[in-house]
Amino acid sequence: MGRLLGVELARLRWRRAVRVLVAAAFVIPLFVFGGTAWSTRPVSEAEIAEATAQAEQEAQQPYVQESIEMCLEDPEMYFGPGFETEDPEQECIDANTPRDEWYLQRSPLDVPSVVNDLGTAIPVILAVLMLLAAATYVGADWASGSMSNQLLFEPRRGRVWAAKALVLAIVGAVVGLVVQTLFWVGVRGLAASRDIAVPGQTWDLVPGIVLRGTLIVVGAALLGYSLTMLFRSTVVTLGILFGVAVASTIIIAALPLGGDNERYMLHTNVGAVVQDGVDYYSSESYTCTYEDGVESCDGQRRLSLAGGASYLALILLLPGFAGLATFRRRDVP
Amino acid sequence: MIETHGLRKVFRTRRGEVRVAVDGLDLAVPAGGVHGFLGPNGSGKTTTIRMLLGLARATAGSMRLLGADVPSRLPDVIDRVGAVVESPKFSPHFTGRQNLMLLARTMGAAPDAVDRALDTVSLAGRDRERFKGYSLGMKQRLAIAATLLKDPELLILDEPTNGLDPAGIREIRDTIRELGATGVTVLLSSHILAEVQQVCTSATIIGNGRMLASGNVQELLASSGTSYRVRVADPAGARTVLKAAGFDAADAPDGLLTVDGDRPPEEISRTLGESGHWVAELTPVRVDLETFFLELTRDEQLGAA
Repeated sequence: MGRLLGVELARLRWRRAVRVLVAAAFVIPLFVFGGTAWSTRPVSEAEIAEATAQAEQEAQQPYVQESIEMCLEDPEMYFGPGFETEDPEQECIDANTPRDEWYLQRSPLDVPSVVNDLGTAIPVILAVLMLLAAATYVGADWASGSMSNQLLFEPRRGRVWAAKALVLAIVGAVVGLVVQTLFWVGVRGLAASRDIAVPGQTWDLVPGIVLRGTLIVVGAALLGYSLTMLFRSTVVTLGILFGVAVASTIIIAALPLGGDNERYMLHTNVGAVVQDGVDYYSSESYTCTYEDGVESCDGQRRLSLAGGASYLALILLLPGFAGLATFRRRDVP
Repeated sequence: MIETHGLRKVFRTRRGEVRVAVDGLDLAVPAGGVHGFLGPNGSGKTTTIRMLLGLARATAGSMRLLGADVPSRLPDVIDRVGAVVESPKFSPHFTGRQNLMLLARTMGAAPDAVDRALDTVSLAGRDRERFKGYSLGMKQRLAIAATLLKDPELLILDEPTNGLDPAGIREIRDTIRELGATGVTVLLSSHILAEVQQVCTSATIIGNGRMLASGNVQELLASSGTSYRVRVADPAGARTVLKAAGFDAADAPDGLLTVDGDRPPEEISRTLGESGHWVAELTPVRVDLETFFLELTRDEQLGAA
């Protein structure tokens, strides 16, 4: 088996399309990191001066004074029912007078939101690239007919199937771990260089996100592989995945799931795995309560890590078993 | 070396139609020598070879390669079996050397096995070029190089000279003959019957997935009988005399007669001489493999047409 793994690793390494996709797995997150760093860069003195000038200029506009007067007439309209304060005039002035930060259209680096958003986005990007790499890698064997040549040297089809799958899993795991680790090391360095205080628990979440994100990457690689072994064509695999991506929302919406459709969306389940559970909207659990005349509605449900992982495992195992079974039984051209 | 009993392969088309590609084939290829495997297009040769190599599943019947049951024990003997099935199938974007290296590593061949195989098929200078840039002949030579990585006891070659130029064909023919002489058993499927006749010691002819004839090539040809070409001054008169004496005689081009050879030639000569037809030429005509093959498979050719 070790010999076969070496062979498949060489075959994977020699495929130009795979090399390009693995390179993209490093370059695209680098661009995402660069974009994040650029869009949250500290404001310069010139930008502050410009914002101050703009705020002062806006403060002279008549609508500002009109807004302050309307606020004073009915503060609850501005601040909500039951609003009480010792100095309503100052509150209305503060709320309606343009301030510098209104014209500084850039927020500083917000690490918790980066962890929440990009913690899922980065493994999803890697997953798509590894899925393509897997489909390309094994699809080329079918397209050229070289699969039959391989079987003339190793006729145990189960071993051939397993060796290819294992190599893809290893490469997916390495790419997932390395790229995500580099990304978060970069984010941490960026936050430190800008003296941004980050709650300790935020960083504690990152190792788990990296590990679970890596599982998503490995799963995507194996899904691309299984489907291509089943359909024996990269084009068919990608066509089916595209079709599913387009049609799945419609199909799931059409199914009688009692308003719990969001639970079956791929992105919800991926989010649940990467973020260790995720809240999603469910019309089934949408309830409203009235307290002190105030309506409060809640349609949130929680999908656990186990729930998301089970759903994704099912999606992976079905084509996996089908692909292995057909590869073992069907004639090879 | 190769045995099949009642081998059968049924395909189902996408419309649900059933097509029998191999129909109860009993094949026996003895150890040593070069064995021809002949049949018209669609007769089941390649399907049989693919089943023997584990690429296709038999619907019924049994197979043995080098004494091992196929497909259950094929892994035990695959390192001793080299094969080229139909067209050469390699990764087009890899070089010839890379393609061979992957196969050599799969079976744990010696590090210099690739170099030796490339040298044998005269591809050593072109081995770092991509396979997709190779000519058909070079691709065929690379496929043969792949079989030599194994140092095989049994070579199964399906149309190995396809696309080769005359020099290449002769080179491969000589290689096959040499391999056969050194104890390697070769199963050669080919449409070039003159080539098969030159190289093969024995042959099996199949049609519609069934065996039509099998055995030593010379014995097969002898079994089809010998005829005689006869030149006389009056062919029409001589034909009448021969027919009256019970010979099967027919007109042939250039004023000749063809007489079936189930009786000794001196009887032809005496019969004609006694009736005043003096024989100017009496030549035995042996059936070649192509004629024998075409006669055996005539029904299928007509059916296919």
